Amino acid sequence: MILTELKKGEKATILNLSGTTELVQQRLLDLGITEGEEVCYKCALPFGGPCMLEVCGQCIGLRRREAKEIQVVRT
Amino acid sequence: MEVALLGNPNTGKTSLFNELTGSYEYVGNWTGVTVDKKVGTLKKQIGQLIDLPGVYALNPISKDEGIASQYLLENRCTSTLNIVDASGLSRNLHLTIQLLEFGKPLVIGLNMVDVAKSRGIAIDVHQLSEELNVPVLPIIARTGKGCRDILDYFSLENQHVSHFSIDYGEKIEKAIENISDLLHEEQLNHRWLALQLLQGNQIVLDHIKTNKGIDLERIQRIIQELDKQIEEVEKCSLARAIYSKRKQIINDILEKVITKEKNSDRTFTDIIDSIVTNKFLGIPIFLSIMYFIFHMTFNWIGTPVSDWLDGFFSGSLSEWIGQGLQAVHATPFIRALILNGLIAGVGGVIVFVPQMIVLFFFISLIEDSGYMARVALVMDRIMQVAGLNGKSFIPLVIGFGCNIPGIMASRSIEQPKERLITVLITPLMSCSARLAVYSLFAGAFFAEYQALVVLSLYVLGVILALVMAKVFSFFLKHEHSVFIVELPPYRVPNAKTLFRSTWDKSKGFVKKATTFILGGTVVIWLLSYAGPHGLNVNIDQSFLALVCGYIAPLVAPLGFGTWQAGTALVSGFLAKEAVVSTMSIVYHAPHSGTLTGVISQAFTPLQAYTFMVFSLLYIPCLSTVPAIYKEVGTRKLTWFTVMYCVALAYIVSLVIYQVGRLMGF
Amino acid sequence: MLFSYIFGILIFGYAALTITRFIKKSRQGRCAACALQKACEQKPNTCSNIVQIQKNEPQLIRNQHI
Ligand SMILES: Nc1nc2c(ncn2[C@@H]2O[C@H](COP(=O)(O)OP(=O)(O)O)[C@@H](O)[C@H]2O)c(=O)[nH]1
Ligand SMILES: [Mg+2]
Repeated sequence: MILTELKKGEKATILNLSGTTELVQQRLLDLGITEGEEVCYKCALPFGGPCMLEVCGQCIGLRRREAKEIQVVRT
Repeated sequence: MEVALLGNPNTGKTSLFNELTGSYEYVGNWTGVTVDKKVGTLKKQIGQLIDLPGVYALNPISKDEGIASQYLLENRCTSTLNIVDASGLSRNLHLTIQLLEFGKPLVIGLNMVDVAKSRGIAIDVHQLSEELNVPVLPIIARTGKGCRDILDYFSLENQHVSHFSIDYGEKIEKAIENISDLLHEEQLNHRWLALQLLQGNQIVLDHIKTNKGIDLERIQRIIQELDKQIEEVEKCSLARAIYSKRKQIINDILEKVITKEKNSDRTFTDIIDSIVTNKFLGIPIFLSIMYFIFHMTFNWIGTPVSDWLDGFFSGSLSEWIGQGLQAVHATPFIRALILNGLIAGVGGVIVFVPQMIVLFFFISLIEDSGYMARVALVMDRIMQVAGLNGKSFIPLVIGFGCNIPGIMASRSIEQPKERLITVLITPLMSCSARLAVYSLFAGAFFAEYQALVVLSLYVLGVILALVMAKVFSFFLKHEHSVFIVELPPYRVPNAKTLFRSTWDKSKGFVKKATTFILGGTVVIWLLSYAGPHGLNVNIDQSFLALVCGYIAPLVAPLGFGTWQAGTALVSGFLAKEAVVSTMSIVYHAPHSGTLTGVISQAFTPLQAYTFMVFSLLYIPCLSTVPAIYKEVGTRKLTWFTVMYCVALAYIVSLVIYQVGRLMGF
Repeated sequence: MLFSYIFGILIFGYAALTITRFIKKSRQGRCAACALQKACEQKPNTCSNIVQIQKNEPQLIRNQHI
């Protein structure tokens, strides 16, 4: 399943990041977000605005379009 | 000795810098506060400390990160101080490893141990130091705890050069060796250079290119070959393989070093976030906060104090000085210079200091609390419509204080196109100097609705900036827009930081008023005092009136076609406060009461509003122009920025005035 | 009278000084009212060599339409 299909507050493990653009991928790696990490989908802003994730104890904001490219599996 | 301060963004580098050098640099709770390198002298005069923008890795994406990497390549520092966030070790250590590979003496400052502790993370400092083979000093940069140890460490003569290296596996090691062999001309650590090249570090590649003795083609062939091999075997890119290897090592180390006691559930940060980044409340909350700030600045605290100050300047103080001058038999010329020039001009600006202090205080509060990154998140959707991303909103908010740091803050934006557009639109932000103009006019014409009128100007500035951004984005090459922002935990703003930050900005304002504005005031006054027919002429016959009379017809369609307004606008190019000081002089008539009174005779409310809009937009001030040049890099674009502001101001003011007149205001 | 001369010279001298200083500072893109770049004053020319990553800096395709 993809990240944005999770419900608010649900947790999942990242399976694949390679769908995102290279720049985003590099930034995600910088922030410690890789395959195998647990991610919590915290909330999304309206009108297709960005969403908020929590990974490794820190929050990040990400465009929904990029988040849709991240594959996860529910834990 | 020169010590470089490196670490991930928002880990407290600048806090430590301030603590160790006794200086004050800009501290804030979001990524991208420091965008330039800062030099400070370490206490006890043991050497110099260089504060650098935060980086996640030495392979830069944004421009501010490039500055840090470039600094390392220039090879000037004698040792490095790596600040590591104890509450996020696994991410922070990636940079640490790269710095260890860099091979300069290194010491780790383990910061935010208080945060780690409150999250139930216990770190065995001794073990960490042993695993990495470098000294590790636990500190709390915010309170200064442990910072002495760092100073003491640097006072020691023989500094530890670390020997830490990771085995990246046979294939990669072989390539490192081959590349290192080709790099013998280089002074920097060969292994580090080779690894950075393998990771695709563009800045290192550019650096190598400048060295003619190196066979670049062979290096690139080695990299390509390895890349292909890795791709086949491990199904990932070379850079990724290196990253994974490091991650594995880090996990092994952390296993031995960290013990997590409890897992704290819903934190303070989560609760606030659920409100301020709420689906429906996010933007309304941001606007309410801004309105509240203006209300505090104008209606509740700032203006009452300012009015009192104004009364004091134009009343008692003028009287006392007048009497004093009489007592020493000063000539009329000197009397006029001091009373009508200096006191009216400089005093006219100084009276707005209380409002500035209140505004600066709240801006500092937003900066240090962690709300700034949330603003970026909440605004992203709107910014996207304008062809930008949420991060571009941060320079705009900083621009409310002063446009120059705002323009520089755009360096942390990843995409060159979005960065350029942000620089181009930041001058439309209403900086604190322009606030003096609004205070004067809003106080005279819209006393009851001051906060609302001023907020409308700020919002107008932002809206026009977004419209212009959209227009510019049509003329630029299309680029995939990205938005990733780190949302740091909220922190109760540090009283010391808050005070220092407010004090520093306000001091700057007073300093400018008593130096440059004062100088300009003297010149303006002289021009208004002298005319073709000698000194002490009627002000309408002065040089100033004659020369600036030519400007008046140009701005007449906007409703303020007087030479006085023209003069104020001309001097406003030098600094926006000068609009106020100039008006104080040109409208100064003895026994006519305060400036507010005179102004309310000279303008209608509609003209006043149009004048405020025009002052908001019409030109970036003299100091901002070189800052723009520095960021955009070409003279042509700098000129373009200045000219489009003038054109925009003219068009918008014209529309407002003419439409307002038709509507009967 | 003497007093007036002294005062006049002081004021005009100070005005000239501050203006020249301001113009010089402004040329370097600094602003007296902001805290940024203050530390650089202690050590000149450490700030001037800011790197420009011009890898793929965009160009305005048409930028003289005003
Ligand atoms: N709790 C806590 N906060 C800190 C500490 N050090 C810095 N901070 C806060 O972290 C934020 C970022 O600090 P700053 O020095 O600007 O970080 P930089 O981006 O690395 O230069 C500020 O809000 C500081 O007040 C610390 O040791 N403990
Ligand atoms: Mg900093």
